[in-house]
Amino acid sequence: MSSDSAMIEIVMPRMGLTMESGTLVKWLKQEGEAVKSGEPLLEIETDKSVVEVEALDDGILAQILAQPGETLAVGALLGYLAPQKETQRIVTPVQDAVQPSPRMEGKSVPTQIDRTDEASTAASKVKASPAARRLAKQWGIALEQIAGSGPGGRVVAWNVAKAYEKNITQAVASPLPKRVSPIAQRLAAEMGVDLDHVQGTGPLGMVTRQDVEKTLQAGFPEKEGALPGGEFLLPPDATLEQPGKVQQRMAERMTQSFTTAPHFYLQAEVDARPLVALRKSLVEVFDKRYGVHLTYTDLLLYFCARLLPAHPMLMAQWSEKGLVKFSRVHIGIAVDTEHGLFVPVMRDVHQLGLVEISRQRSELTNKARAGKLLPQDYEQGVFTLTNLGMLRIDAFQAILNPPQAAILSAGRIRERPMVQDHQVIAGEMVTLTLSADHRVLDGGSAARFLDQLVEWLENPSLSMA
Amino acid sequence: MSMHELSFAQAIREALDEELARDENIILFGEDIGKWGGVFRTTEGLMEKYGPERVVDTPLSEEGYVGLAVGIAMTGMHPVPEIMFGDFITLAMDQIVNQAAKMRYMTGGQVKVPITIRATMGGGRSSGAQHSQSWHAWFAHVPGLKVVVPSTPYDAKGLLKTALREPNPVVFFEDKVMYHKIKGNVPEEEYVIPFGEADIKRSGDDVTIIALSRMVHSALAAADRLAEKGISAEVIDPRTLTPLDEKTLVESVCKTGGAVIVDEGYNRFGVTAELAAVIARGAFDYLDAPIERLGALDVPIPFTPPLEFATIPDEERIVTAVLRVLEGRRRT
Repeated sequence: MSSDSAMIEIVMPRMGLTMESGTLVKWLKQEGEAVKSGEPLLEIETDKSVVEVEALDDGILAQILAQPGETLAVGALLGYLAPQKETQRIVTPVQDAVQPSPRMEGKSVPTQIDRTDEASTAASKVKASPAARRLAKQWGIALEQIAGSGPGGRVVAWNVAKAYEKNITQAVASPLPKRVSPIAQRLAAEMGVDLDHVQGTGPLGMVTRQDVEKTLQAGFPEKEGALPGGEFLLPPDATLEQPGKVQQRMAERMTQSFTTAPHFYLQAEVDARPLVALRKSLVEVFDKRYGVHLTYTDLLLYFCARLLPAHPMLMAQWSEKGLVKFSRVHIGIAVDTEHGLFVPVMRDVHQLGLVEISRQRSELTNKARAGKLLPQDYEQGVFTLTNLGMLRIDAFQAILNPPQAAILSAGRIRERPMVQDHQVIAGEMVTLTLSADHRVLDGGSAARFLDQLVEWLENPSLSMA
Repeated sequence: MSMHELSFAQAIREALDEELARDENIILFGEDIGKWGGVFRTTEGLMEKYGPERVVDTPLSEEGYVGLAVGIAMTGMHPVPEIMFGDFITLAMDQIVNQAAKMRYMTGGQVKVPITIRATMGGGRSSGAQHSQSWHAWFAHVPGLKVVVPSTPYDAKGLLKTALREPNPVVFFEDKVMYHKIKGNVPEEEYVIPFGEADIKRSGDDVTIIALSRMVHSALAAADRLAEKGISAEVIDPRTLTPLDEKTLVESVCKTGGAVIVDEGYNRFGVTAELAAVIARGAFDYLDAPIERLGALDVPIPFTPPLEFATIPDEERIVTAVLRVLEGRRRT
């Protein structure tokens, strides 16, 4: 059997990171009723609250499977949405003939659905593009919970992006008086727009990015500047300028970090000759074969990421509730741009090869320089790397990127006299500085990380041990 | 840089003229290329200028004069045999594939074969099944040959000049329909274009269209129409098949997430298949839709125009293929 019009599954959404199941309160539409993307479709009760769930697609509510009062696991099938507009498709035979699930027995299922009942194989059986799979993995989103809008119901990249945005919105929606899209939130924060004054035009009155931009264009006064209040006397010959929003945010975060986290610094001079040789041996091949330009930052990312899992405290974070610990190595990279300092985050760097590290680093820094970073590009970093070598800085002590407990600063690689076997020779050296949070780390534990890193940099083949 | 406008045929002629003047080892062979100036006017006036010993009219005997050219190339000359209708390159296949492509290898590098074989390609002129085919894929399949498939007067001139300085056999394909229809600016100054560098003919973000030869112009027209729908298509011309600039193709698809590949050769085991494989490997994790391939239908090219046009990819089919790639993907 084959199908040329796939139905869209309506499933129990995950409303928060800890939600396992939810109770269906009621359907807000009846079978046969048209639904628009963004319109409320049903109400779900979680252990925290009752939430309206919006449709992710336009269509007709074709079939209701779950009844009010039923408590179902996240991802459980609640019903089907029929795409409203039948688009022309190339008909491909469906490989997996579908056994109707017990829930569907006795009901007429309007079209054949390409899915399987084996929950364990659900993710691998979901039709999804490679790009969608990559993003879902990167963001930790279960593919089977996402309705696909591609041909034959294939999940495509923007479905995953939409699901990701939705998770974020729902996670922060309750304390906010109004619904604001993540991009709008970020923009408002950056530009200092007071969201109370922005009229939302998105679904359910959600404030969208366009709404914030419109407010900005209308010349809406920005929030009060961060300059100290009271009487302020401008010294003669001085000018007063309002800091940009990026700078303001930097000022707030750095003040918070420097005044709350007790910093200490460890410095090591590294014989950089092996590192220089390693890069030299790879850089041309990488350029030619993979089209990526290998940098020292990439190599440092590589070694740090492979070392960090053995030093989990470097990735831990101090909080009032206790130590927050992480196992996935998401590393922030400080990027200097004409708009200011940005720290985009590379995900699961410990699982990436050097080529992929280099490619993603280049993508993220380009995005940062173009001002195109998305909220998800900043999030969840557990360690930060900052490199000012290209600006001829020999060594520096970075302020911790809160709430992280460690940041590694790299200076420039420079020819310097060095002593080897009681002889002064010309060598190449680099100074690495590790800044650490003394609430989380002590000198020894931070030093052991830096010691092993230095050992690897001076003898890269040891990293394979 | 000062420019002048040339047709595709005039750009070819200018490249030949300049190189004949530069290197006395260059000799042209072909049917009606001398006194007549070539049926497509690509050698007009060259016999008068360089004499019948360097611009040689040959009998209708492709194997004969291509074989002759391979022989004199081995002695250090740089012959340029022209195949008036690329369909009949089949007659010279042994000379190209078994002789020209193999000699450098089989002599351990002692003998080079600097030969540039110019051949036409392409349908759309109602020339019938034996005068409309595009056989560039065959030569891209053979190790030892370089294959050039230019799309603009600028590229044609710069790449032909590179071919004429190349110590190895090159098969250079010129689309017949472009000769007089496609015009473009070409610098007055000397320039060459290296092999193995794709050219981004138009930048875009939503989908990558990879096209060769005349199909580049169909792809650009399609991109204009897509722009009206708010779709931003990137159009890339590989320009040479061997060597192939895989990096530019893969990078573009990593950026856009989708690819439509357009070539006038046959789809089956063709250029579109090879390029699709390159992309599937290089950009796998970035693909958001299956790769679309548009080539000639797998039938002899019909003589009657309505059927002939139905077999060759065009603007309309490129637009449709792009929409298929983008189905359900856009945030609109």
